[in-house]
Amino acid sequence: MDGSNLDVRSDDGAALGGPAPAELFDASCLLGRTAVHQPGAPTNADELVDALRFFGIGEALVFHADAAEYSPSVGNDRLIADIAGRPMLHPCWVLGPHQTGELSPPNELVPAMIRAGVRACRLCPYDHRFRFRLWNIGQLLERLAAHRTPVWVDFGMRGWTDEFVDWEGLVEVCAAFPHLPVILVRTGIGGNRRLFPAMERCPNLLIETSYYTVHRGIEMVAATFGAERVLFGSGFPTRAPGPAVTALAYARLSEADRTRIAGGNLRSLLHGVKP
Amino acid sequence: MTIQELAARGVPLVDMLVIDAHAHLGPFPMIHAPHADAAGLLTSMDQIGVRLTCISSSYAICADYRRGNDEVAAVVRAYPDRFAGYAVINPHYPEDLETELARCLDGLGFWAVKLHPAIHQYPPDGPAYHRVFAWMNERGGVILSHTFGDAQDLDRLSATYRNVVFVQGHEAGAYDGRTPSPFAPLLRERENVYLDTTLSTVRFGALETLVEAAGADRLLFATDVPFIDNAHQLGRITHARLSDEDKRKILGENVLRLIERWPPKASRPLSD
Repeated sequence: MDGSNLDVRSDDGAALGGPAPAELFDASCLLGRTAVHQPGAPTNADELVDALRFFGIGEALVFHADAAEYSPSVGNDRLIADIAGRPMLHPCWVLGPHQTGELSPPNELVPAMIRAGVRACRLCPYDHRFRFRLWNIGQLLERLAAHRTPVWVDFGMRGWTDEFVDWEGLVEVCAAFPHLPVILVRTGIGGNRRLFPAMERCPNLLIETSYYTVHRGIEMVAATFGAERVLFGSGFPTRAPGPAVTALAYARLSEADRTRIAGGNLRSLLHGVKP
Repeated sequence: MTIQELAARGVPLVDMLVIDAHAHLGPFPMIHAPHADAAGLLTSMDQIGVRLTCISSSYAICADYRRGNDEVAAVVRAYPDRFAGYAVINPHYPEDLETELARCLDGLGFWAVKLHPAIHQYPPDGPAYHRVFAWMNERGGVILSHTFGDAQDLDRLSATYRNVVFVQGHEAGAYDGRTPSPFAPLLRERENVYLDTTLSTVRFGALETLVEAAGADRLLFATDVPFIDNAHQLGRITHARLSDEDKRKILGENVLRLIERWPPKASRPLSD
């Protein structure tokens, strides 16, 4: 059987065929050595590229393990060096409050980040012990919003029973900066009764799918809030990419919506960053 | 095409036997579980190519076990070739225990038993559960539990009740892959011990490590649908770095051995 000619349709005509591997653009991927290492997980850029190809992922937005698990300033610099010459890998810096002097002030940091070719950033309020509230991180967010730089917010969710997401903070930030794309990382089955009201209230709140395991949830979010609010993400290499791949591949979506979620939305966000 | 290639394209896996060994019917108080009725489950089963889904009632687990078991019985009667039923036994109603087992397994056509010590806040080897084990040991059959405890507990139970197949829910899914699984020796040596694969978190490389240590013969594909998306859970198997032969075992062939040995009375044989 030649897969390129597959044209599988369900009874009601909804397309069943998933995107070709090259279309997948992973919105949530990590590079480097982590303190806790999964067996066989890549530890450098070459291994990561090979592994992503194995799983049919054509491009990935990557943050560095050193930045998330050690020091943002160290890891962000290393990220640029490590992915140089690998066009399938796109950089995402890990940021945080500047007042302690660990990072430059936002009016210096954000323009420098964009000049370095970095069009996305990630915040880890739980692991880095700050609050995703305006009083704590507002100055940085204001500058990011001015550049339309999308922000991934990782509240450190390990399992669905964790109550780490600051929903009040999310809604507060999204309302304060309506042009700032905010991507909630690893929201799962335990969060839907708060996620849906938050997405209804905040048009600039998006999700990535690495832990969005709600039954037929991707199609439900796409139908309720629009496919442009969903980004394919794998959580690789801490998590196995297969589930995120199949969750999208089997979702009952139009091919146009599937393509948006697979990578079109992420490309639009990155292209939307203002210099 | 390989199983991984088919799944990556969203092609229903109809050319192989895919059986979901651990799933539910109905909503759940702690989470939003959309499309939780039979029609909703059938839609996603067809989408990914699941031939049969083994369900227990959320209603029976969370509140009224009799009404919940009746709901599952009705669904299995309506779709006998698509669903097999687990009878939920609540240990806090010991006066009704054997009666409910007989009502469900002998009268309503359920194929196996489901226990949930976590939600019922009851020890996995508590006395009421031993009555369930003894009843099932007498007739032979399958018991799926959210947990039977740790590997030592499961070792002891499976040695005592040799005519019961113990399916430890979530255990293969929960395995982190980083340290040796204490369940691996049991999987290699004890014919009546199985682990299922469902868990919302899917750690990279864990399933491969477990199969390397214990083989693929005692692992059952399971999704926990509608609490967890079955298409998501499918990817744990289809995209693992395993042979397609091992994937076929896990996806359906292993549980088929159990179903053929103890066929649900309400279902038609899968070979029809």
